[in-house]
Amino acid sequence: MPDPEEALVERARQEPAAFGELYERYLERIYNYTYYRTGNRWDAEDLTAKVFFQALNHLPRYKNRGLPFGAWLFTIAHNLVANWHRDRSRRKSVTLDKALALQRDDPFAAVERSEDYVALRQAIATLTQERQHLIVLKFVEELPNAEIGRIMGRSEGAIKALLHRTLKALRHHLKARQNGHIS
Amino acid sequence: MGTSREDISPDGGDLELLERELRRAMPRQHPAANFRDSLRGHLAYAARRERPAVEIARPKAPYLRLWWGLAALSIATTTFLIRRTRTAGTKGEETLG
Repeated sequence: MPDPEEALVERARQEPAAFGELYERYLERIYNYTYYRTGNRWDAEDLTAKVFFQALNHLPRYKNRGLPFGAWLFTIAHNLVANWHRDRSRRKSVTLDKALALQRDDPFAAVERSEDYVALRQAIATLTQERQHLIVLKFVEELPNAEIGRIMGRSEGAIKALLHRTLKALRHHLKARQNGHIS
Repeated sequence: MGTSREDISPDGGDLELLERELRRAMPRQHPAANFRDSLRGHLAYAARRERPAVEIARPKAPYLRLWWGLAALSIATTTFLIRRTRTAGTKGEETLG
């Protein structure tokens, strides 16, 4: 019996309405991913839109080779975020601190502006792109290691090891900050 | 928030605690309703507009060109053979005559 999502993807190739169902299913997850990778709502909206347009355009070429549709969307999102970071590094732009300060208008941000959370997010921002990708997939999307492995093209064991190293690096950064080595 | 930064990064600190802090520090966000609706509309429009283009671009009957080619070749060969036969016949008559 075919996977219901696979059937939906197949239908979306023919009917625009079916793509709408996929959009509803994944919008929030992709938005969360781009939000935490960019640090602001505006770029998150822009990148989320790009992810879905790219998915729509490339849908006829999408083939499920062990990578579920959601994982394929996250891969597109990851590539677009990586391009966004690359473009941003070329020109002067707002830092994560400023981006967090800009969120004051966001009603959802009210809960999360404690000093500790800001420190934690700043620590995340110092990580490599790959590790930030992993942190968001693991702690925002709450995906299992096996699925993260499929998205990142690594084994489940490799993801587990990378996660452990990443958490240790974060803890080290927070400790250094606490001791005043990092302002 | 129940846990302070001290708890996150003590010596030999607990990574599980850090994991919990990460989950709390990054709560789920909800895209704005106007963004959600607007993007849905744009995608629906793009999907409707793109489909006919895809249909037109699809290759039609891949062997059709081959059949037309073979038919043209066959007509050309037949015409050539008829003409050659007629020419040979005329030359034969002239030689005899």
